[in-house]
Amino acid sequence: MAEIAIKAEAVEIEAKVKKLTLVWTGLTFILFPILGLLGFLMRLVQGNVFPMFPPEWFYSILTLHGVGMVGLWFVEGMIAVIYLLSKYVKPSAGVSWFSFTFTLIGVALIIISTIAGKFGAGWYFLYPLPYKSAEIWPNWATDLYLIGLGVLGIAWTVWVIDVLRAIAKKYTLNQALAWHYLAGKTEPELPPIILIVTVTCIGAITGFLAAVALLLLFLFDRVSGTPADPLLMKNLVFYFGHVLVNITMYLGVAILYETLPQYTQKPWKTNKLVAFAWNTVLFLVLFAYFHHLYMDFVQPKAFQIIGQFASYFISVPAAVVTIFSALAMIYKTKVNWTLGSSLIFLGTMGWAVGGVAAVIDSSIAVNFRFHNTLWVPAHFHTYFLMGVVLMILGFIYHFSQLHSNIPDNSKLAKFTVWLILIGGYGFLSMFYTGGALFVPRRYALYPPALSSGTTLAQISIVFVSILTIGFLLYLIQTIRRWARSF
Amino acid sequence: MGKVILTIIALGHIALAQNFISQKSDTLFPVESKYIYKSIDDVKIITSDNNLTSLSNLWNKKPFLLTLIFSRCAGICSPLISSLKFSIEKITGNEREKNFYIVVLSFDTADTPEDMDAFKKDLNLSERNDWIFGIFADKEKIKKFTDELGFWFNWVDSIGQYDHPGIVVGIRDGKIVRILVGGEITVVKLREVIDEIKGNFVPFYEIQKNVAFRCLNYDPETGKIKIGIGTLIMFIPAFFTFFITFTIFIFSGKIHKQNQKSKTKQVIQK
Repeated sequence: MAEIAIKAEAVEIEAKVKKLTLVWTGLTFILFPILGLLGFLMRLVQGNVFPMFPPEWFYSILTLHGVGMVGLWFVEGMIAVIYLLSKYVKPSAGVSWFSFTFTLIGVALIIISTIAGKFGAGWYFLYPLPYKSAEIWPNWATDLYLIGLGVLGIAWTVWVIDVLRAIAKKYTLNQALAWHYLAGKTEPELPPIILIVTVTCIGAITGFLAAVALLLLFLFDRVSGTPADPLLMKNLVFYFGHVLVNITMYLGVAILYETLPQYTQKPWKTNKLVAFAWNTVLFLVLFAYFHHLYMDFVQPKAFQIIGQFASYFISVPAAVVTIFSALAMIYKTKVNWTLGSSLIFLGTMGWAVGGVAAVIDSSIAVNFRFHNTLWVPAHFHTYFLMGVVLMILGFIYHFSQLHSNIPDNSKLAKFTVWLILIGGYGFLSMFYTGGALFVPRRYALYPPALSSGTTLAQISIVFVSILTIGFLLYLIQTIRRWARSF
Repeated sequence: MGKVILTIIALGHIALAQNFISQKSDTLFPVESKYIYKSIDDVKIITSDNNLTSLSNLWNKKPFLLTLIFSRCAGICSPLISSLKFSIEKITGNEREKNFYIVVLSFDTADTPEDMDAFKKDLNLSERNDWIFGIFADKEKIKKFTDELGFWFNWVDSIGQYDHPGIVVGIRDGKIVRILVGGEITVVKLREVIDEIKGNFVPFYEIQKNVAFRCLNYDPETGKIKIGIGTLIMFIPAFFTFFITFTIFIFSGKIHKQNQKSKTKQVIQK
């Protein structure tokens, strides 16, 4: 009797989580093409295809594209992980719906701020620029943008706290962080996803609290008229921003740990090395962001040195352990390569490539040359677009296929993957070349002295077109399966 | 009509007077931006202990602060050197060997090495090797050299003295890096010049005083940077996170245990 009740409860939870995942994914199907096309439009503008395009529009699009993409993949990563976690723990469906509603409100406010208000200070809204726009955008646009971020911050903080609560109901902190593995014990057995999500959620809380502090300081400035210290504001914005991007990648890695074994038929278990790697990440994720402030000469020298070493060491444990483990898992193994598993695996490799480019840029000596050049969008698009985005898209396909029971069209899947790879890496190579030629980023139109920036943008249009076709094919295949999953 | 003409003339005079004042202030003291990063002439000098050397010989060893005076000066010269000495001692403490020189040259063709030696002794600097007092070896070059620094001097018969401004020039590798003007050398300004000639980073401080939650507080008087409340704010998210995490795990764990106990009780009762 009790067993039947437990099974019924499990079925009910699975149905709830499945519905949530489907709805969130539906939102991704709407936002991803829009935000992606905005990125495409920016490359067209930089390629001088629309010479009369108003620069202020370029910067509001840049802001919306940046904040939208980071937020979108964080929420989709969260919902993917909640779906996968529900096998082990029970996050609240009510809290996820609360987050969904508030995310919609936050997104709407940000869209109004950037499109109607032309807010164009970039996703990082570096202080004091948001309220000193030279009348390009009104102050209400900044207010709306910050309120939008505040709403998202509240929703997401509650969300990650609930996930931690769900984990805490089954595991002690000691177990959830796999400290018993470090002490040489293997019982109780801990699925790697629990460890990674615990680290991710703790990291997320600290990042969101930094955002709270930042928004309060903005409010203080707005209400009292007393300016805050720009150095403090910059530290807080990158504390929050860097952590948010990092934890989104870790959500992608959690997907990898949980889904890849289903295609290789090999278990992926927590061990001492995995435990050590992710505990190191938990510590170092707080300090790596200092590499965003190398150019701020007033930042204490010790922070700069800590930033360089934290950036080096954070990539070694998590990335190297994960990437080698993933390679070991597919080595001499008959892998069921579907569109989903291929994208998840290639996303991991993209994370590796982007990670190397990021580590190069986090060296102080190199950063002096590459800072604010196209090398920066090159590396973050590598580990984001060709990294975590592919992992999450792979999960969406995996999830939709599982629930629709529509078999994989391997030829079309292969073709899609090749288009995404050629288009994606071709697009990125133009950014990298621009970085190597010291072409600055964030230029709406390149002046004649930087004509190589225009040429590279024009070449990249070809690759972005290929990438767009690849994503379009992906969407056609996935939406068909997603629609059948309801 | 007459009033209008008078007004126009008066306004014209004011405008001319203002123009004169601004011209005068430009020429009274050298404008730093006109001379900065320009090379100075590598002139030969005779030091107060009768050694012949060149300025390049000095700047190849260490950067230096250069000031121009004359030994018979009854005006700005002694106060200027005293002020310089006081400020240098404030900045460098009791270091015997500094990593820069202070070169005091006389622009007066009548001055001799002995006059400069007496001047040095009067200021209790005779034991200090880093203070180099001297005269130009080639008197013909004085005018050209001082022009390169924006320094001027005029002989005034009625008082039997030279009229000249007080300047301290920071020289590194034969180039002007800073110029301080006036008779009083403040510690704050001199510290910046010394840092610049040594090639060190010069922190600057905001004029705006009412900035909230500063990360760092720079004291230009001592040159020290103190950690401000802003730096502490940076650590607050991490502290709160630990607090929240521990609270979640402690309370959720307790509630979970209580639920399990009550479930076990229910099973036993059944």
